[in-house]
Amino acid sequence: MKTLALMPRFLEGLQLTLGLWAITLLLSLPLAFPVAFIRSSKNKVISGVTKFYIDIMRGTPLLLQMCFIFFGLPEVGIVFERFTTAVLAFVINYTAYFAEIFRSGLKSIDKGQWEAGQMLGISKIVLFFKVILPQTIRTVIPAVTNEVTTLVKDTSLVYILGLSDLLRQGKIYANNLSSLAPFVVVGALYFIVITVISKGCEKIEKSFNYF
Amino acid sequence: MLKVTNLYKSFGEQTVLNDISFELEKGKILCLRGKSGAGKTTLIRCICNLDKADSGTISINGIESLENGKVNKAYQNTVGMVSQGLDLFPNLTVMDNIILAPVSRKLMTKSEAEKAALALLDSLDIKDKASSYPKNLSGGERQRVAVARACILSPSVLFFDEPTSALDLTSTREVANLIEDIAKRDIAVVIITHDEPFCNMLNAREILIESGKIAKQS
Repeated sequence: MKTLALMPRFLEGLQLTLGLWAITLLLSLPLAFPVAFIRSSKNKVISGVTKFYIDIMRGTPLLLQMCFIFFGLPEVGIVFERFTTAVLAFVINYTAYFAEIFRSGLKSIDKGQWEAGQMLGISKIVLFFKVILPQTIRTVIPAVTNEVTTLVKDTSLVYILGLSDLLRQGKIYANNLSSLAPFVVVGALYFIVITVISKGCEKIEKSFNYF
Repeated sequence: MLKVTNLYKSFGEQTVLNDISFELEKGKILCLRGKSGAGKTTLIRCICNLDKADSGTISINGIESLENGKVNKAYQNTVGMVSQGLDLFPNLTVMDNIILAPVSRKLMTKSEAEKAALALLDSLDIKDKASSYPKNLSGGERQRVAVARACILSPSVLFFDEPTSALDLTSTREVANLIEDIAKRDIAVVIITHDEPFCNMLNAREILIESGKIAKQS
């Protein structure tokens, strides 16, 4: 009962978790497409720089990247608020992962589609938005769904910045009450949120079944 | 009309096209025959500006394929292609496949393009498929959509890459009739094929390509 009375506190934590999740997706998904294009560029310098960025993001822990931004950058006079740090770290990190997913999606589109567009004199921009993008999105939805659900769980890393997300709230009250019950509630909330998100992604996937 | 002069193309050490020259008048059909790897596809890819020849010239109605080494848009408007894989846009309906190019290039308004598309589909006996997606069409219907998509831009020359591969005799005859009908619209048709009986069904000139060279022509 004591644990359930703390529900408003847990929901506050959930609000932060979902807020960070939504902002990260809103920024990193659109950013990932240009990054994927630049990574596929024939210009070796440009694609090399992008590859280096992606390798760093994938090759080091997100927690470390957050620490670097929050504790490291102030050494050179660049200071960010806690939540801004979290957003920045998550967006930079997830853009790299999404970019690689989109790159594989773009590569999977038959080059005959581009050539057909060229033969018909359709501009590359029109062809991309009307033909290539919908096909790419359909291809990448399962992989993106994985990342989107992982992102919900990854937001718990913001405890390092002292932000009170869902898991941190659970930890605080588990200590206060000397009980595991808050962790059970927190786990249930994560599970519900991720189930809803997965169902949503499934619906989006099905909406592309018309072709 | 279509004029190809002294075309050469190599991939590394391998010469794929070796001094190819030929001409084709409007309303005529040309079958480019030859074994796999003879250079047929490379030849039409060069003519369609999908690949660049090492040397030689290509022109249609006097318009050269390249202008200062770059694709000449005026030339590009005169060629159409029905590729072996057809390459219909799977996420668009038959109607949208056909009208995307003329509408996005502002050659026609949407209603003009739809009217022209319906007339083409009607002449190809697939008017009832206008709102279908390519995945719901048979192979023959898909091919007709690809023809309609190319024809709406009124090309001077239409290229077919292996249009009868994996077709039975009845369907092959239908494709032959379709191509004869297209030629009657004063469009020059170039067909790549290794299917000799199919060539014989058509009132067509033939060029046999062997190892990148014209071995025989009629």
